Amino acid sequence: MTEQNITPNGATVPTFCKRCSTNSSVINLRTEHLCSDCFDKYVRSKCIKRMEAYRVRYNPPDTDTSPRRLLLPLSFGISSTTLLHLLNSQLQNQLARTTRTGFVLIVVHIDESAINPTVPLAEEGMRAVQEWFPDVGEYFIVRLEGIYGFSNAVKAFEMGVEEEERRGGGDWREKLKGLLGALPSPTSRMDLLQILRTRLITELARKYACEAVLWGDTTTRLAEKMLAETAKGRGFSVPWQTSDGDSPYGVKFLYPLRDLLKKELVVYVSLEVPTPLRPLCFGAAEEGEGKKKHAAVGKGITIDELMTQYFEGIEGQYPSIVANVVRTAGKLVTEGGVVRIGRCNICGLPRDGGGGELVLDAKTKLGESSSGEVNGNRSGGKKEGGDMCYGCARSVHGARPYEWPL
Amino acid sequence: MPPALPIPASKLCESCLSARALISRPKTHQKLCKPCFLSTFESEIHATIVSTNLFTKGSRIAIGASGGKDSTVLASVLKTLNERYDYGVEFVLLSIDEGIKGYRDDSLETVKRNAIQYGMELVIVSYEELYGWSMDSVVESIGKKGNCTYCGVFRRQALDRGAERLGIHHVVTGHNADDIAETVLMNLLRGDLPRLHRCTSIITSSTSSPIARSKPLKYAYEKEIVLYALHKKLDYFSTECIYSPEAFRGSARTLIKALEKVRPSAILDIVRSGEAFSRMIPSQAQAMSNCARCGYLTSQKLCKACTLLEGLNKNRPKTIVEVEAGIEDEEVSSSLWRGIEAIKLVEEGIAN
Repeated sequence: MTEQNITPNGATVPTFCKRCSTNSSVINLRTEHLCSDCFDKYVRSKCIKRMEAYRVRYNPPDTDTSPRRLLLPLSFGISSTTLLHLLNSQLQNQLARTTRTGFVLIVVHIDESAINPTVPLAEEGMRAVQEWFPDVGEYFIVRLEGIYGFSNAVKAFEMGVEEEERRGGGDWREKLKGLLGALPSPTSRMDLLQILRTRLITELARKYACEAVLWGDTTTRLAEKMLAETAKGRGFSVPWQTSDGDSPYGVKFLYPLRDLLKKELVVYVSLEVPTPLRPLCFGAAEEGEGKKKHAAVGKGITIDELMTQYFEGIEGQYPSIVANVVRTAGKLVTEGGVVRIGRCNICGLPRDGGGGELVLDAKTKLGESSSGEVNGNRSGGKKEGGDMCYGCARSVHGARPYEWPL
Repeated sequence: MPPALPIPASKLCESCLSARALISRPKTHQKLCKPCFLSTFESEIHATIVSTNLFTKGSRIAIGASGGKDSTVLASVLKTLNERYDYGVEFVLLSIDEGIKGYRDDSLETVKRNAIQYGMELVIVSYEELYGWSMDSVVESIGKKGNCTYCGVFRRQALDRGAERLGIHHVVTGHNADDIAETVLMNLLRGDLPRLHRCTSIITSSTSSPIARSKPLKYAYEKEIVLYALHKKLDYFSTECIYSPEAFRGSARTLIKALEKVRPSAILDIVRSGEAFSRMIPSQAQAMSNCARCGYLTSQKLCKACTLLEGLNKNRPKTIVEVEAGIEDEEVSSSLWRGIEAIKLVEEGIAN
C-alpha cells in the first residue's frame, strides 16, 4: 500500500519517505510521509518511550534481578495485538543486548463467549499468537464469568477450559447472563461488561503477582473513553481509567500506546514487515465491517459505540483534537488520592458522592417528593445507589429486580 | 353528553394517577398529564434554586431576556416561583439590543410584551449607545465571518453594564442543561481547563466581572423548556439570529443530541461529570486589573471589548480566535469548530 501523489498533468507518482528519502511512503503521519521501515521505527519508539521503567537494570549482584511481571490483556484486536508484537520485539532486543529481560509478560485473553457467541475462538487465537511470540512469558485464557471465583475469594482461578467444566462453572455462566440481561439498555450492558472485564483483569494481575497491567489503548481509544465516561456520569473516575500509574485496584496501569492514533495502528498491522499482524487480529472487524455494524444497530447503539464513531471522524481530520482530549484527561487530579471515600460496590472505584442523588428528579434530591414515583424507578426506590458511584447507579437504574450489586 | 370513558391504566399520568397522560418527559420518559408536567418542571427549578441558596430575600435580580424560549421560560417560572414560595426577590428584565434589523428589533417587541405580562421592569441597553457600533454596522465592516466573537464579547459587558446601571449585582441567564453539557464537551475537545473548571457552576462571581451570573435552568432540558413554553402558551420569539443560523457548537450539539437519544439522562450525566471535573482542576487565580480605556475588569491592559473596538474603529477587520478568560463559551468561534461541525455523526436516526 503505497501512497501516491497526483501531479498537475494527471500522472500518479509515489510519495517518498520524508525521513530516509529512498523508500516510497505508506502513511501520512500528521504532516510527515513515512515508508514502512521508518513508520515501524516511529511506532516502536512511541511504545518503548512509555516502557522506560522496564529496561534491563544493572543491579548489584545480590539484589533480586528476576524480571518484573506485567499483565497484558489481549483481546485480539488491533491495538492489543500490536502491543504484544512491540513488547515482544523489545524483549528480543533486551535479550540480544544483555541476555536478560527487564520484564516478563502474562498474556491473558478474556473469553466472553458466555455473553457473545460470535466472539473468536479463544484457544485457536491464543495458539496462533503464541506461535508467533513464544518467548514473551505465559499465556492464559480466562472466562469472563470467572469473576465470580474472585468474589468468593475461595477457589483458585486456573480457568483452563477442562478445569472449568470439571468445576461445573456453568452456573457462573448463567449468573453472568442473568446479570447483564437484567440491565435496562445496551449502554448499561456495555458499561457493566467493561467494568467486569477490568475487575477480572486486575484480580488476575494480583493473582499472577503482576505489578502492572499494560492496556492497549491508543490515543483515540483514550479520548473515546474520556468522553464516553463523561457522558455516562463517570467524569470523576477518568484519571483512574486513562492515566499511567497506580490505580485504585492495587496494581499499576500503563498505556504504552497512548501516543499512537488508532488509524496509525490500522495501517501498521496491515504492513507486511516486520510481522504481518493483521491475520493475528482475530477480534478486529474487517475493514469497513465495523461501520456497517454500527449503522445497522441504529437506536440500539451504545454511548461507547457512539463515541467510537465520533472519534473515527475526528481523528481523520483533526488528530490534534484527539490528543487534546487525552491531555486534558491527564491534567485532572483526583482529590485526596484513591482512599478518599468508600468504594463503589460495582466498579470498585472510590465513589463520587454516591448515586443516591441521581439528579434525574430534583425532588428526590431534596426529599420532598410529592409524586408517588421517584426517578421513574420501580424497584429500588430511594435506597437505590447507596453503595454505588453515580455512574454505576445510573447504569443499573431501571434494571429489573436483581441482586445488586454483584 | 355521554359519560367520559375510564382512562386505561397504561394511559394514566404516572404522577397523579387520575388524569390522562399527555406528555412523555424527555428527561425520564415518564408519562405525565399537563398540570403534573408543569408543576414537576417548576418544582425542579425551585429545588435547584433552594439547594444552591441562589437568591436572598429583598434582593433585586436581573433576568437576561432575549425574547427567546429559554429566557422567556426562565422569566415565567421565576415569577411563578417567586409568588408561590415567597422568595421576596424583585426581578427586572434586562435586554441587550445588539442592533440587528429583522431579528433583534422583533424579539425586543416580544420582551416588551413579556414585561407587561409578567409585571416586570424592562431595561434595554444597546451596543450602539455603549460602543458606538451596532452589529449591523459591525457586520457591514468585517463581514459575517467571526462576527459572533464581537457580539459575544460585547454582550457580556453590556449585561454587566446594564446591571450596574440598575444597581443590580446578580444576573440570571437562561442557559439550560443542554447548553452546559455541550460546553463541557467543547471544553474537553478544546482542552480548555479554566473554562472546564467553571462552566458547570450554578453561579459564577467571576474575577473578570463585578456582577454574579447564575443559571437556574442548568438542570432543565431544552426539550422540556420548549414543552413548558408550549403548554403555558408563552409568548416567545423563535427565529435564529440572521448572522449565525446554528453557527457554532455544531459538532458538540450533534453529539449531545445523539447521546440524548441513546440515553436520555446523558445530558444530566455530562453536567454531573462536568461538576466532578470542576473539583478536579486546580484553580488558577488570574491577576485582574481595570481596562486602561473603559475601566472594565480585565487580565490584559485593555479589555476584550476595547481591543475589538480598536480594530473596528481603525476599520481594520480582525479575526479573533482566542477569547479572554471569563467570557462565556457560546461566544467562541473558530474555523476549526466549523470544520468539525462538518463531520457527521452518520448512522441513521442518530444524528437527526
